[in-house]
Amino acid sequence: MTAFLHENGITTVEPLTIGLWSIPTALCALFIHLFRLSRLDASIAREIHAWQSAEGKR
Amino acid sequence: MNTLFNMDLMLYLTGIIMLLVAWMTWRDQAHPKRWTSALFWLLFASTFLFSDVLFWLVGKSLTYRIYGVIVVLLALIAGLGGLGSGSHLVTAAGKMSAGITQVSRIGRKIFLPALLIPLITVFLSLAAKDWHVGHWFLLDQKNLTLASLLLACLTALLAACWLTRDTPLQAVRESRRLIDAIGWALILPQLLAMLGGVFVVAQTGQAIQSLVSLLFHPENRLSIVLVYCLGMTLLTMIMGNAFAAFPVMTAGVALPLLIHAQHANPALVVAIGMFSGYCGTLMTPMAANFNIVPAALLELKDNYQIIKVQIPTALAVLICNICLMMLFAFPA
Repeated sequence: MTAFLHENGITTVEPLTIGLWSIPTALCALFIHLFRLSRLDASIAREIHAWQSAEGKR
Repeated sequence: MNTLFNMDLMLYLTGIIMLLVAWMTWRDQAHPKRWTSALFWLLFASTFLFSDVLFWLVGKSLTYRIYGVIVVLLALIAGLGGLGSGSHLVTAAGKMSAGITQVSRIGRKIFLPALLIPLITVFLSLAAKDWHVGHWFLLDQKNLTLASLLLACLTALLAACWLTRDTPLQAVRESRRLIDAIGWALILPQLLAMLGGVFVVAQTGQAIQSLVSLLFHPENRLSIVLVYCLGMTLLTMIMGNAFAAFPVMTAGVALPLLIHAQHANPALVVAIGMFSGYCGTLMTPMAANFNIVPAALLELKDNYQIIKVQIPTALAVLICNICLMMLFAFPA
């Protein structure tokens, strides 16, 4: 990416700066994934609960 | 100055592995499609092994044409269903129990060779740049990271052989088992990289730029940001590789309309543009090495299961990317 910018006349950008601007997206992806995993955990817990109560009735 | 571990060695070693795979496939009497499958892997091996010789023998343009024909042949063999899986997949269940006893003997040390690869790669690429013996550099000076990876893989292979008391040939046999499970998708990354090159040579970037300036007012930030981020996503979905889409979309949209015209922060724009491309990677079967190959290796019933699970995350991250670029890219 820096090589591409250098070829096009932008020489002030260092790889580390691009890495720094990756942090916001990384945090977003982390929170989105945490949210989806917590919903997955909740649905697994519900399934186990439903299965246990069905077993209990039998 | 010469180098010991360079790109030529890497290509030749890959070619030799593919050649052995072709040979083993041809020798496999129980293979349902042994002739066409062996031919497929032989043709693929030839792209690694003989390009230098052909270049030297018949010149540049004829070599390119020969490889063009080979690529078409590969596509025909795979497309007509000529690529099959060997008999080892059927017998794998019997061998599996022997494998499990061996693993329990070795214990957790079984992960050591795999962990050696990243550790040695990082160490060599940071420390071994100047290592040399006489006039021979240890590592390729232009491709330091790849040369480090090559040396790390060879070390890991030796460590694995020592740990399991097995031969490198067994590693090739296991490679063949994996390659059979992956099938034609194995050659997709190379073909997609070529496709990216074709897009650049065909000046797709300029075409997109004139199309965008025709449809949107160049002062309208939101529309340009949307075109760049969604364009990266869509082009990556088509090409299967964000790195192939990046020069096309960045030269076409981001450089002239965002960085030059609106003085947007170039580091932020290219970083978030690339991440928008990665959102496309999550949603496309063309990124076969990420989305289709694992589905095959895990023996999932639905080939597209991985993509289906990834789509909500990809779309949510894409929306975040667009918001982040709108919020932080432009000078106040």
